[in-house]
Amino acid sequence: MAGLIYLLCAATSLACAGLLWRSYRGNGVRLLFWSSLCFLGLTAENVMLYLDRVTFPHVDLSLYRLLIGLAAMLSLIYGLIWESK
Amino acid sequence: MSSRALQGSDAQVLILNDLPDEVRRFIASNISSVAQLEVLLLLREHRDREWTADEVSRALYAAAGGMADQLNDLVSRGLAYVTETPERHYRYRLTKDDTLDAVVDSLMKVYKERRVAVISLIYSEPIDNARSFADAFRIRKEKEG
Amino acid sequence: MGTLMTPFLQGMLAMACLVAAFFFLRYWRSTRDRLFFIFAVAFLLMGLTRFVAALIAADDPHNSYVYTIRFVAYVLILAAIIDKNRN
Repeated sequence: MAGLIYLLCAATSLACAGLLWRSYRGNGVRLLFWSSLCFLGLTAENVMLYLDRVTFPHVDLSLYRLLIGLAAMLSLIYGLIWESK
Repeated sequence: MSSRALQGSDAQVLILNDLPDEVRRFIASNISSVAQLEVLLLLREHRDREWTADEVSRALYAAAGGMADQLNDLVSRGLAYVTETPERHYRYRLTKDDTLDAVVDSLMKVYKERRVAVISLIYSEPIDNARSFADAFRIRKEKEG
Repeated sequence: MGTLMTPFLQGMLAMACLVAAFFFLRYWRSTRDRLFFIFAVAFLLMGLTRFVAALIAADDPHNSYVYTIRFVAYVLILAAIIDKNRN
């Protein structure tokens, strides 16, 4: 159950990352670059949750998970703050 | 209308800031080209009439069918209404926000009186971050003007 | 890296999600685009996920409350995208 949910979350955030990246390539709006990076990081975080739970249940990946998640959110916040008019 | 003191060679800034706020907001969020504006105003001026894309193109002296993109964009923004009977017919209709009618009316007047100012505004509007973000999630992109 | 590192990072993440949510609320206010409101709620929920994970489920990161809230957050994002394209 948890595994399926993590994969669904990963797919959703990957879709967001893709859509934002495609638009960034089209119009060069910097905010989209950072947002895309954020959702990519969130995808990685969700994938790691899946690995943590399903593939490597005996290993605790929480530190790396959280660091990736943090990097992702910091990208978004950086973009939101610096690219705001 | 917001009035700004003229600062040195900021004549262009004065022109842009002199238009009514709601018109500026409307243009910023809905109008991306002069062609699109002309289409909208054409539909509005003959608001009880239904047009096909070809008729609109002819009325605006554009290539046949060239205005289809603009018309579809207006429909998706809730500014026009399309019926397929069986050919696509468009008409002016505010499907999302009725209060915009007054704004479009205002826009029509302003465009008649200060055409250059409006055109400058359409093309000088800096790319809006928020709008770009929201538009990024449209899977099928409408071509801009 | 003590045992306090994990809840600390979760706390930072929760705060970051909150900040993002507030930015989205601001965008919603200026554009009136429903997408931003939904994203704001989604990121608020993501923040809540971390908050709950840090407080209640520190030793059980795959707690069902935690992943349920996360799931709702992502479903909302999906809903926002579908809503945006449903024209």
